[in-house]
Amino acid sequence: MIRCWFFTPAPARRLDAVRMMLGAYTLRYLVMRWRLISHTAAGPRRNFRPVGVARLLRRPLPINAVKTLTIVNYGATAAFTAGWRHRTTGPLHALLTLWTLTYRNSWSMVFHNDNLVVLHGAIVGVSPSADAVSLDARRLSSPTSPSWRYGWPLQLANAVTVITYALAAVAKLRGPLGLRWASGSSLRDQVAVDGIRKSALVCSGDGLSPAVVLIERRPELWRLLATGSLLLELGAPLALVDRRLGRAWSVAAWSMHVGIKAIMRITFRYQLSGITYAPFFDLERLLPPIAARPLPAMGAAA
Amino acid sequence: MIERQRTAALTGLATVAAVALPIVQNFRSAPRDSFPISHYPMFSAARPEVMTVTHLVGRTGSGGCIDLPCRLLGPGGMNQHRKQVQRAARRHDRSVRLTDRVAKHLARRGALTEVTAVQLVTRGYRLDDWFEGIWCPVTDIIHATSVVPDRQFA
Repeated sequence: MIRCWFFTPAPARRLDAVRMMLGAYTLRYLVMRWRLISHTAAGPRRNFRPVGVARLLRRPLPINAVKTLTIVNYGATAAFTAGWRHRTTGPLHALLTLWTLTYRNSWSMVFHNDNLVVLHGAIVGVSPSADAVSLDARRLSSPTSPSWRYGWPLQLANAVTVITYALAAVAKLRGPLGLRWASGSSLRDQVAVDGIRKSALVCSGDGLSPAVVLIERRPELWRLLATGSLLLELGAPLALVDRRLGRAWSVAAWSMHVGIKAIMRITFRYQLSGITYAPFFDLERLLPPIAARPLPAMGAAA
Repeated sequence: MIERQRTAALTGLATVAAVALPIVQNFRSAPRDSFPISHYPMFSAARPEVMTVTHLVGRTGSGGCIDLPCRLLGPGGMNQHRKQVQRAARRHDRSVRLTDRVAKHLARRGALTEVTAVQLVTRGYRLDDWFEGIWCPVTDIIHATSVVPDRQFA
């Protein structure tokens, strides 16, 4: 049964659409963080706390090496997005994005909104995601029928997404509050902690967001929001059972991140972009129709 | 490029196992987070009624006190600066070095002219106060004070 689920056939254009969206998002995200990536890596050595693959390093890389690798990553990600020489640039994009974001996260704290960008990039990067709509596809004949070859990367990306949400729920339930997390007081405290930090360190002077003002008028909403988000995270694996359920869960999860942004002013960029949940949807419908290249008929004169 | 079912199945199994494995961190006395494989501990910690935060403040000539933005510390994001000031607060010599640096920076740039001294402080703020719009620390520890060169410190 799991085998059938994992190898559910999908059209090549669906996987290609995910590749283009993911690649374009990653490229924009990394380009906009050029200053942050390069400035952070130029910080005091004592701030370097390597995580993941960066633990291979004993000391920080020279700043020029960081900048060079980041620029090479821009090139690889642009090529990945366009589907140019995908057999090389797909895995290269996956490796370099893993490296760039791991290194960045080794300088302050782990930003959990980057995890899925890297994981999805790795899955799509090593899969045949440039067979239909890509620069490579202009040289080859595009496959027209759905195949398991294009289905498994989408299923795996979805599985990885829901596991991360379920893990977040387990961390809350196994944390010091346990089931009391659902009472909403922890969520309220977290909002205050975040606001106090920003006021003291950034001097943002933003104060309470309108959403928090609204919720404070009806405190039972804290409980509702906390319980709802915990159930959404814990029940995430159910999204794999059925595609319609998956889409409904995607919309709910996206809405949760909109709520986090409105209440806590914390931006989960990849999740808010919606691309996290793209593999749940029939994205090929968004692409303009292309004329199928007819294969030469058997016995036809050349 | 993965083109065979067997390779795809093995890749899928390995990926799912790798992503799910950090669940064990929740059962350890000292969980360790990583990237991009994580146990996603964000928002799971219990918060005390009063939270402490280490940050920079400026003393004004009239005896007032204003919060200083951490970007005065140089490049980096808020969380990087937060860790930086926390580490500095643990040792007096580091605290002094940090406030000296910021004070000289203000003097050099001619910025925030009302600030006559820079302090590194750890202050406690009541979480409930935040919702009332009250911005007043309930505890206050001063780690270091540096006078801004050429400015009169009262």
